[in-house]
Amino acid sequence: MFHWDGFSSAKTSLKNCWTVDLSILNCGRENTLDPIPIMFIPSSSEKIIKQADPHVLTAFLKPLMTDLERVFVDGFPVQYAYPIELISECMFDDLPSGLATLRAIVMVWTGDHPAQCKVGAVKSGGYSGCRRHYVISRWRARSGNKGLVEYHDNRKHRRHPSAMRCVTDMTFALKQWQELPIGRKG
Amino acid sequence: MAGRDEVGREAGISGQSCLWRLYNLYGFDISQDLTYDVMHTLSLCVFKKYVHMLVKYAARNGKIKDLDGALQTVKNLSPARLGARWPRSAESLGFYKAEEYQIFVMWCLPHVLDHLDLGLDSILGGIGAVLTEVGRLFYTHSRSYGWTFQSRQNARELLAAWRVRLEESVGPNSSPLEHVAGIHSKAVFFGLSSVKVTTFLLKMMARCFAGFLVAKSHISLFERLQTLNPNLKP
Repeated sequence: MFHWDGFSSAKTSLKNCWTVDLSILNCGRENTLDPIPIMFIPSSSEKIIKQADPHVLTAFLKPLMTDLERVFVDGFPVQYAYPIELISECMFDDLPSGLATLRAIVMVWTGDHPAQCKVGAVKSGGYSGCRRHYVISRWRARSGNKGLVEYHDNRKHRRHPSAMRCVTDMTFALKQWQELPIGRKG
Repeated sequence: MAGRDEVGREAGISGQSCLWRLYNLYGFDISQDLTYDVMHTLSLCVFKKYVHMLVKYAARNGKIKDLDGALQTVKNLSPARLGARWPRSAESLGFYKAEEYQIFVMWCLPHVLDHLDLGLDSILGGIGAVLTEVGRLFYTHSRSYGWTFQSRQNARELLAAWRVRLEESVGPNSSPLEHVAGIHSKAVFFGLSSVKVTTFLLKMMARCFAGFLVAKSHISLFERLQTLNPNLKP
């Protein structure tokens, strides 16, 4: 499980920082939620990297993703000194003790709303900004040019839930997206 | 011809994240596996909005002293093992941390509502009762008994009740987090005891690794997993 959050070290937004934490889910109930800090990204580097790469975080996350792929495909060998029958009685009883290969997969990536939108490159707002449903919100004007997008008709949505977003729609859109030129109109 | 922005807007995408590499490898689902955490959805969004509403009501009716007194009473009566970060007085509401909102709603709220003469028939009292139950379900019940399908359904119903009541009394919800506040379906598996989590993870790993396992002649482990769960397919 990965967790991503941002914090500000000073009052200016230039000195914001982002951190990525890792916790291992299947290592006992006491140790499960102990986070291991693995990455620290100063936000001020955004300006430098943006000239080379339009999506800033890709530059930082690329090495991490390469590591995650290698951990899944190749794994890493571990010498088991621990008595194997204590780990699980029904799963491992005919496996010989000694060298074992450990592999890992990312199950969940948690964080707050802006962090999720940055990491997953998904929409952070707008009229149908909800990442779970295809629900449509409306604009409420406030004084001046300001306003808010608000979600209404909750009782109706409770009785007739709107359709969920699914990953197949996203992959289909992503294929189209890669072929199109940058900007609003092609 | 539509541009990139238009295509992305409908599907909810703003760019190509590198997490898609994990989708190609073992099906990491961006629409489901990016989850919001409890602190940001419940404490800092749902509870925070309610506490600010309550303090504003008390200030308008000149009952801030009653509110502070009720908070202090509950703090004095609490057992020592609970005392992590109790809510400060209403003056320092702008500096509250997430745990203070959580403790305010879970432990102090019934006494505070009683002191402010807010019954269950009033708007704030009704919403507060729902939120107290939500807090207990998420922070107390689930941590000692784990998540079941029934408790997940209860949490969804309670949060839907909160959303409808708040909209009909105050106005529509403005934040996307308030709209999604709920519980993820996989929490049922993660919230159980560690043995069951391990079993679940192993089953899922076996599903992912079926190709590797067969190729590397570790068939015995897969067959053993299949005897445990006959529905398991390579």
